Amino acid sequence: MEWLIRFCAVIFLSVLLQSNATSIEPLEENEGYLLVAFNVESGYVPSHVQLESGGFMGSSLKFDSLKPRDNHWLIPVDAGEYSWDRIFFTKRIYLNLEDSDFKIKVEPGKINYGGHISLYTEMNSNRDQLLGGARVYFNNRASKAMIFLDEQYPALMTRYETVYSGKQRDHFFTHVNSLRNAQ
Amino acid sequence: MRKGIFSLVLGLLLVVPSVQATVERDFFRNEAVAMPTISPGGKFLLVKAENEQGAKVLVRNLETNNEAEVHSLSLSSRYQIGDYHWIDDDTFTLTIYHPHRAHHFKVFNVDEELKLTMVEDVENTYLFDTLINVPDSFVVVKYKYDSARLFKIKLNNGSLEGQTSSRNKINRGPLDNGRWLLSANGKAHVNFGLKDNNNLTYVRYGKSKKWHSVWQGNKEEVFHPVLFDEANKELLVISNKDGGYHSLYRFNVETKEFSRLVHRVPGKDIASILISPYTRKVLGYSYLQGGIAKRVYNESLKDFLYIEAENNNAIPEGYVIDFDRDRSTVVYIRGSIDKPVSYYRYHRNSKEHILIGDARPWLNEYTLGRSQVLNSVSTDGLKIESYLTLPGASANKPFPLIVLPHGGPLGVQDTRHFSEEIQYLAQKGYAVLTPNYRGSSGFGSEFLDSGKQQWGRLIEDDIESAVEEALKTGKVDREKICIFGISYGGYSALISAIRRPDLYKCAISYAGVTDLPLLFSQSHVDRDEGQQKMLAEILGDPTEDWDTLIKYSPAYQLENLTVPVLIGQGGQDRIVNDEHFFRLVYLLDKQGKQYTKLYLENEIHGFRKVLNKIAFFRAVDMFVKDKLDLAEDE
Repeated sequence: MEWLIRFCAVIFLSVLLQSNATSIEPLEENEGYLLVAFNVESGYVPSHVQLESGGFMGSSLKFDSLKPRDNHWLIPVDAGEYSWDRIFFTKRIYLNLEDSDFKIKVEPGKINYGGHISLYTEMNSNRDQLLGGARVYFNNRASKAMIFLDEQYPALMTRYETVYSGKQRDHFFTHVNSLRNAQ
Repeated sequence: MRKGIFSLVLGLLLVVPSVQATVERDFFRNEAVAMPTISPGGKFLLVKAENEQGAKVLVRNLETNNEAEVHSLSLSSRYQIGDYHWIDDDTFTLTIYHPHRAHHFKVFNVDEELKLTMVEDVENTYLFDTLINVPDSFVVVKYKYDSARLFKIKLNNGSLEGQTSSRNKINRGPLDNGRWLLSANGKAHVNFGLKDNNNLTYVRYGKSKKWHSVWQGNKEEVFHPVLFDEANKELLVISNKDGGYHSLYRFNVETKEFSRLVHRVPGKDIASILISPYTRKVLGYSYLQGGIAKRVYNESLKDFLYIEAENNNAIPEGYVIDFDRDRSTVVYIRGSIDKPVSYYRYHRNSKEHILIGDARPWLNEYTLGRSQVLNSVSTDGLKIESYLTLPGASANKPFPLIVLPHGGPLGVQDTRHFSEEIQYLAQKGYAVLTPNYRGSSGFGSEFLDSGKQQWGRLIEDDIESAVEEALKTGKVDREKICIFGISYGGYSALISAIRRPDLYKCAISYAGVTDLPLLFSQSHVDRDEGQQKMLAEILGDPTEDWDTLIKYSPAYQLENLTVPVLIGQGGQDRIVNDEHFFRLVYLLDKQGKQYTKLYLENEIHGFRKVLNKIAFFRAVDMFVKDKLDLAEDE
């Protein structure tokens, strides 16, 4: 009887642990994974956010269903450069990030992270006006990205290299990988 | 299990400030009285007063001794009282800040009955110059596209907003983003700043609008104008041209040569020049001697000094902070390392010294720590000045030591003036060592520059030389030493624990840098070439010196960390953002290292809220006592 309880417990725990992991489409040729990260630090939660891919035939990547605090999306995209474009509060009210130079480079065959957007706003009660403006930062928060990937895509992490593709060089992913390899 | 209990206790500290936290509350609560300033006519005094309900600005009629409230904020308000200044005999400005919203710039009139009339309340405006000799006029600064725009405001001449349209801008010059000096009537006549790594200074004089280039030098040559004596066509300039120490010179703008030395302190930097707002003349200067600010007043202003001359020791370690137009009333501060400041006014006619208020009267019941100067020699022969503060209460054995390196690391220095943090730690039974390691200000340009690219290296050698010197006094216990710091001090604590586990038994870092290359990818730095260059100069080049940056990053050297650490961080820190903290936590967990953490979600690079500061310092005390096996009352 005891073995049956243990067996059921193992099955239950396996299901529970696996349920945290998220499935994702495999990469095709010349594609990389793009990790989009957005933190609503204070104030209003945007309705959706938008990135633009570079090049003459650039297209938009739209992400919705934002929640307060942390938002992450991992999607396969064509290799290339992607720029933060707009943060929408409603259909017509948005912050334009076009000139902010917030860019993420996507290398094929890798998980690419370029930084977290952090948004601070205060809206009036009708939510149709920003009080005191909005502050937007684009910061390297690779440890948050790593925790998200560890929790949601553990299998993917073993297959693909995770890289920081912001403007400056960073050592965090390299160091974590070397610790994992040493284990 | 022990770590879990300790974390739980820390958590509770944040939620329920303990009744037993009286010592913390006494040392870290805001000053009861601060920033008194007297009106030019000597009739009114403005002062900030604070108690456990909140803060207020008061105006006092010195003839009747009546008082009126100008502005008050409850303790829970997110607004903060900024600065306030008299702009003429009965008009003053007041700035109220908010961490996220626009701040308020207010202008008030006050009459003899203390009836207050607010004549302006605008946003995003700062006082630049009181123009105290020009009634109802002052100069404000507004920022647009990172550029300061100055406007001369005349009250009763239309709204302030109306007078700040672009066409009224008074600072049009060669260096739009540079700094400005104004004449007594508000004409921008000196424009100086850094451009393409060169220090540039321009002046204009007489009725001409033409700017003359008077100085061009590299940025290592300090040339800092403090005043323009237009009549003699001479700039008063802080320069390091002789011997590398900041001294005050006169500089002829026509010959473009230094005409004479005005003030110099051998072997020391002059810290500040005191200028009269009424005469726009130099009153004197200050410098630090053994960690104490010395103020030297000019001969022409000896009537300030007679306060001491006529009343021997009337203002020991005190200094003048304000005075009225005819200097009949002088506001001054008294205070020292073991005595929190008190504010007084001195009336020349009656020769009375009247207490305005004690900043921290509740500390009178404590025996505060006393400090001494220590001089040590670092590994490369450089002399290091440090201060050792011992608990006021006597003990029959050596004290445990907390080494407290300051932030920066460049251009900051520790002093021996009253410090709530040092005195709190001394009250808890620790000796506290504050080293002025290389890179600190006040010891000349060469000393300052020698701190560049020495993170984790010669700077920490300097600190260790100071620790050895402290041990030589016989008053501290070699087996009971921890290191604690904020910002660079936090970095230093972590890297010191990694490099000298034989010396330090524990380390505490608040807002400490943990990953040197990460500083280059912070939001305000990674797209700004100027900031990248400046950071590379201080830290090392991220391309050429990459391996060095990794080698001296605590986050990447944790395999050598063997002593327990307490790490703290403010969630709203824009200077060392919390990624430094989270990386360290992630990597400590991955490597199974012992640590304690305290994340203060709404805190900045330091402590905005007194309760947070109380919680953190109490946590530090508990942590150190735990790691050094000290009894609570030891």
